[in-house]
Amino acid sequence: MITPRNIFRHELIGLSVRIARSVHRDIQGISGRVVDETRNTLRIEMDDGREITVPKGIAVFHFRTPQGELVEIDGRALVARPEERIKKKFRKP
Amino acid sequence: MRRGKRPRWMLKIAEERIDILFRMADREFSANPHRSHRYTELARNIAMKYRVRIPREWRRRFCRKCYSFLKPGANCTVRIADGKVNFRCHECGHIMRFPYIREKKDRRRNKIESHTTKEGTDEQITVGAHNKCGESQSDR
Repeated sequence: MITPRNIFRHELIGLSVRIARSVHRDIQGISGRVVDETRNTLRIEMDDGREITVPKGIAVFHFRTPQGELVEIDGRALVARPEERIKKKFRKP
Repeated sequence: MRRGKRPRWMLKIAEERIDILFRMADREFSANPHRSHRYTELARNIAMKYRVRIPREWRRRFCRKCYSFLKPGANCTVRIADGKVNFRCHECGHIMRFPYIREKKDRRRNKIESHTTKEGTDEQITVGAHNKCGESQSDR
């Protein structure tokens, strides 16, 4: 079960996401679905079908869990390999 | 805790993530097959890292050699030969063989057991009849 408490340890692929804030202005406000993940980036399929690769470390994301809850996460908490995120310790920046 | 063993809650998340990834792979296959191959790879990485077994329903759904996602009828053929189920991957041509000797043995054992239990019930009935009818049954 993906809950707001464990979402940064859980699977991000398949969740719908919106980029709330970003250092890079052009990607701010983009919304779509996560289709791939690497250590430093998320690949987002936008609503018009285009795909865009977004660095995790420079943005704040709004994820929507399958239950419909909205969760705000600083991308810096997500910077790790997808399989390493389960055991990553979370520190408030 | 054993060395390298992860706490229970981590393993639970790992299992959930593996299941999510394989389901996504299954859903995405018709539109973007490269994505489902990627999801299989990610799921396998998680399974190896946390030493979680990939569930039985998904174990035959990816190639053991090239790790691509397999969808029978689309990029893999399933045939039965010599007491094995053969999965042929159309991506690399590798054939995975899964013997079903255990199921065969179970069926054989069930057959024998059903015979013996039938005889047992027969005997019980005769015993009951014997108790009722006296010596006429036991003479036979």
